[in-house]
Amino acid sequence: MRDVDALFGDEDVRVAALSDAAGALRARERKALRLKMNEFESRFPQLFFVVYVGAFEEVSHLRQFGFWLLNRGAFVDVEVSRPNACGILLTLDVAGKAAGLTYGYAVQPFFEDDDTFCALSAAHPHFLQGHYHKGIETVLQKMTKLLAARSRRARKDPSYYQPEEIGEDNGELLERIRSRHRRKKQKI
Amino acid sequence: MDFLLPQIPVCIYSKSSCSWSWYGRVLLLGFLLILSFPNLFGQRNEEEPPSRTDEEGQVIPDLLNWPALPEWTREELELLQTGGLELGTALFREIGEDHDQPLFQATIEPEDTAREEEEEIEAIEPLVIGEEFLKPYFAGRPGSYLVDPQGMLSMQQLKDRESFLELHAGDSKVDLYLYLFDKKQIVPPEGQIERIFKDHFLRGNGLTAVVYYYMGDPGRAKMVVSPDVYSGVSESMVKGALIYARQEAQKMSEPSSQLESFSTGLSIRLYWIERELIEASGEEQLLQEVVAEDEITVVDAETVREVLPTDHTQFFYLLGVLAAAVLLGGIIALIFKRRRRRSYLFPEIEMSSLLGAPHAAGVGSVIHFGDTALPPSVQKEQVPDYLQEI
Repeated sequence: MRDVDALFGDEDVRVAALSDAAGALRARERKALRLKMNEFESRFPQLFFVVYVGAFEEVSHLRQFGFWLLNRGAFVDVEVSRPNACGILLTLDVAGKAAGLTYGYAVQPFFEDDDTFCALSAAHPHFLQGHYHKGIETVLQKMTKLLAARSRRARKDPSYYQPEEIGEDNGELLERIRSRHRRKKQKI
Repeated sequence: MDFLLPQIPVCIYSKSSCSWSWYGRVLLLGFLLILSFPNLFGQRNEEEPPSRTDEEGQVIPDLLNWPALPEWTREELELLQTGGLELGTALFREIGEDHDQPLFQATIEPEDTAREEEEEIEAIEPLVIGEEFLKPYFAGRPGSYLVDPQGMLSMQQLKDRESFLELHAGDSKVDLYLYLFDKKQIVPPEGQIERIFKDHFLRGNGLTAVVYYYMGDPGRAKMVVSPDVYSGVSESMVKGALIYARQEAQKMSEPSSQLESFSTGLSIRLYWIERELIEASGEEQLLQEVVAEDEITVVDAETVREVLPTDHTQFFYLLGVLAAAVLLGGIIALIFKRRRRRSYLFPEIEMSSLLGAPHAAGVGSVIHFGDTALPPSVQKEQVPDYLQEI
């Protein structure tokens, strides 16, 4: 966190739920997207979905920026009852041609490895053509469908998404995995 | 022209010069010409045909001796001005009591007249085939493909049809024999088509189709084909051929034209049947001599009427389908509406903070869309950078 704070600033920033710093969206598209985001919030009373469209040039910045913004951002048009831990942030790098998803702690247990990739892949054709409005809508739609399914499953079996407690054995296991990963990377 | 000038004072004469102007002279010359030839314009050409009055010997009445035209009296004029007198009433008078009567009064025919007409029709179109024709019809296998001992076709038509049927027999493996009868004639029991076919056509000479055709009524046509035909094609196809020929015939109005269309249509369909037979059994087998004595099937040109639902049934059926569709659409719309309004909740799960991040540490996928040639799976970086530092 210190690294990203050093990069983007260590103070909280006020930002709109739909920020178009790159100016890639038309006014009409922003309005339509805001309605969709409101609809998302009404369907998921605990969560919110925010979008930031900017120009970063570097992909690593996009990933770090998403991580930083969801921790430091104060989204002005999001209810106070929804903390950032319940947020899902879609960051779009118009200059670097990249898109990424970041999510808070409250949502994290309900996401699986490929979920965010699937959502972004569905929007890939629209992003390729520069139809960012349609791409964002697609991501939102995919996330809605995914989270609805996860919510139903969590209601049926709440223990399914409970995280396993990390004990000493698990710590050793993680250390082994990481060391193996480092060795593999050195070989490459 | 001075010698023609009379001493009359006219305006065209110039007193000052005591001479005639040029147009005055022209007018005077024309006047003199008219006087010298009084019948120049009024006389009729001798070559012109005489008028109707001359033909009838009537003399043109002397106009001077015609009766004087009627004159209005004072009373009549006053009536006319006040509107009391209507002109033309003598011409446009009402018919009177007779105008209610129809112009053409239907005459009631006596019953005897209808009976007489039936008898006349019977005399023209005999229902029974004359005895003198029975032998030429049914005595044996006919010498030609067209059997018309009653002479219902003219010589030229007969030759045309015979040549057509011979042509058909030359091209097709199924010979076509046409027996012609009158429109309402009834074939006697000894001349029934299945009996004639069994007696004269069943043995030898390949495949045959025998048709009883009634001139002017193609719907009564009957046909028998060799039983071997049914080994390769269905009865419905044979019947279909006859029905097609009947339909072709019914497009025409003249009985001879109907016969022409009928024979042409049937010839085409028999060719189709032949093709089916060749495909089913092979050409060699088709050419083999027919010796089997199977049951003979007579087909007629009457179409089988399918039982169709009435208008009311169709209406109620459509109404039912429509109501079911509306109900189904309503249910689906209601389900979608409820699903849209439905809210989803998540259980609260305690998560320990990672990397000192207060709210979020879930960095998901990042995809690139800079290269249109590469799929998103290649352009993704699934592993977050910060994990490498752990």
